[in-house]
Order: sequence, then structure tokens, then C-alpha cells
Amino acid sequence: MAEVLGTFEQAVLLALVRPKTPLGKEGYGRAIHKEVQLRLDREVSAGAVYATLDRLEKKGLISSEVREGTDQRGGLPRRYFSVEPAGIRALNESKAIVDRVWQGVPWPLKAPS
Amino acid sequence: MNRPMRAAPPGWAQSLLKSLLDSRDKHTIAGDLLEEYRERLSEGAPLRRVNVWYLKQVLSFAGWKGLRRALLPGCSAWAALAAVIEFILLFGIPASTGISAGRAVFYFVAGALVLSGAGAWRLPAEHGTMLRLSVLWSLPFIVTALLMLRTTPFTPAPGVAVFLFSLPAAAIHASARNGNPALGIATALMTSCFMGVLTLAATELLHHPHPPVSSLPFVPAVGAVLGATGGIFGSRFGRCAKTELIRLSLARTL
Repeated sequence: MAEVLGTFEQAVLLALVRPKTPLGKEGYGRAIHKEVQLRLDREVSAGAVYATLDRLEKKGLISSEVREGTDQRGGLPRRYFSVEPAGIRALNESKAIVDRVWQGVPWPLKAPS
Repeated sequence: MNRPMRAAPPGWAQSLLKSLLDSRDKHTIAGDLLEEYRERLSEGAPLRRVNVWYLKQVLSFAGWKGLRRALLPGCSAWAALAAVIEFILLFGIPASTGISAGRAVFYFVAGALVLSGAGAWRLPAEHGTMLRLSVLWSLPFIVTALLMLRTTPFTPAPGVAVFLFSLPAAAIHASARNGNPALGIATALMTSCFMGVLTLAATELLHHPHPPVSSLPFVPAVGAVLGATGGIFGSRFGRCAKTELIRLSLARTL
């Protein structure tokens, strides 16, 4: 059985797998941060995103490499992330679990009157 | 290159960020935040709001791991060093040399100030300023000393008073010129050395009583402490005065 992911972890992985913006397609830390905010439709702290990226990398779901930075960032390097096959499996499994849990349940739920 | 491309978050916030991150992510995350910082400025966001945003991002890294990384090595090393220095000053030196703990602390503080004042020597352009101001602020002492030597009975009180006035005055004068407290310390030190040597030479030549030569280090030590006080005040005063001048000239122009 693949890794079961939390909602935030899924958002971070999906930001890498299916970015919605041209910046998101670049796949480095800041791009993922913005993409996650867009996907969750709320302000998210950088610390939360980088901590999740770190955790996902330790689990072997993503990998990263450092490349040279641009003038816009004072020449500081960028860390580019990419999804590993295990990351895709974990996303599929997480989606399947959510679908199984919701199977046969009409949505949206109505509060009991 | 336009303003947002050169803009940078406050230095202390950048240092805090780097201290919270491990060596692997230190530069990449700092670069990501700097890039976003500049983009927000280029989009026209007010500087204050962008600085607050940056600080919020920095603090978001201050989890237990980040705090442990930031505090443990640096603070522990400084606390251990401070404890060792305190022990040496309060117990080690008094027990081995007979010098009182108070005097040991005074000389230690003066020594540290002398070292910080020595930083001003790295500015060759200021050497002339230091020399001129030291001579200038030694003049009142020389005049007082000459008058004192002619008066009977001899009393050192006026000389001490002028000494205590001239040193902070020299430091204020020097540091107000370029806003650097170290220049004030160095000038006060130089002035106190002039005064010490002049006093020693004059009293020796005129066969007047003077304190033992072994007490001479006390003079530059006082110079360093008074110089630091004057230097800090002078640098603040100089900056305020410059800001006020700029404000006035802008008001006139507009």
C-alpha cells in the first residue's frame, strides 16, 4: 500500500504534477509556494510549504536538485523539485481512499434539521 | 536596474532567516523569499507591507527545529564565553593578581572599547580628522595645566574637570562628522594619550608631584569609556542633524 497523504501534502504534490500557472511549471520553491496558495485559495506560509517539501523528499515521493539563480534573486541558487513515481502512486492512493470513503454519499451534505 | 530589483529586506530579518534554516536550504529559500519580496515591490505594494510579509515568512520557519538550530549553537557558545570571562574577571584575576574585581571589569570594558575604536584606524581618510580634533580638544587641557602649574597651592581639580569634559567633547565632535561611534572612541583615546603624556612630561620637568607611572594605563581606559559615551551620542546627534538638514533643504526646494 502506498503512502497516505494529508490534504496539504496532496496540494503540494499536485502543484508539482499539474501546475496551473506558467510560474508553477518552473517547479522551484517559490513557484510551488504560489501554486499551493492558488490551489488552496488562501495565504500559506513559506515555512509550511518548505517543511512539507522536505518531508515529501525524505519519504522519497519527490526529488530535488539545485541550479544557479538569477539576478532577480541576488544570484542565490534555486532548488527545483520533481515528482517520483512513488509520489504519483501516493497521490492516486490518496484520491482513491477519499473516493471510497465518499462512495454513495450525496454531496453536498445537508445539516439535520 | 530599477529600485525593486535592488531592494532587499532588512538585514536583521535576513540574518534571522539564515539562522533558522539548515545549511542545505539556507541560500535557496533565502533566494525564493528575496525574489518574491522584489516582485511584490515591483507590483507596487508598499515597502512596509512587504517587510511585514517577509518577516511573517521568516517567522514561519521558527518551529522547534528552527529555533533549536538558531539558538543552541550561537547562544550557547556566547553564554559559555560570557560565563568564562565573568569568572576570570570576578574571581581569577582578583585571586591571582590582587587587582579588585571592579577594576578588572573596568579594564576589560575599556579594552573592548579600545578594540572597537581601533576599527576607526581602518579608515585612512579619517586619520587626519582624528589627529586634528585630538590636538584641538587637548588645547583647553594644556591651557588649564599651564595655569594650574603657576598657582599655589597646587590642586589638580581644574585639570581633572577639563580632562573629563574634553574627552567626550572630542568624541562627540569626531563621531558627529561621519556617524561612526568608533571614530569618537579613537579620537578620545588619542586625546587622552596626548593629555597623559603632556601631564607626565610637564610634571616631571617642573618637579611637580604626579601619580605613579604604573597608573598611566588608567588614562586611556577612561578615554575609551568616555569616548564610547560621547561617540554613541555624537553619531546619533550627527545623523539627526543631517536628517533635519535634508528635511529643511527639501522643504525649501518644494
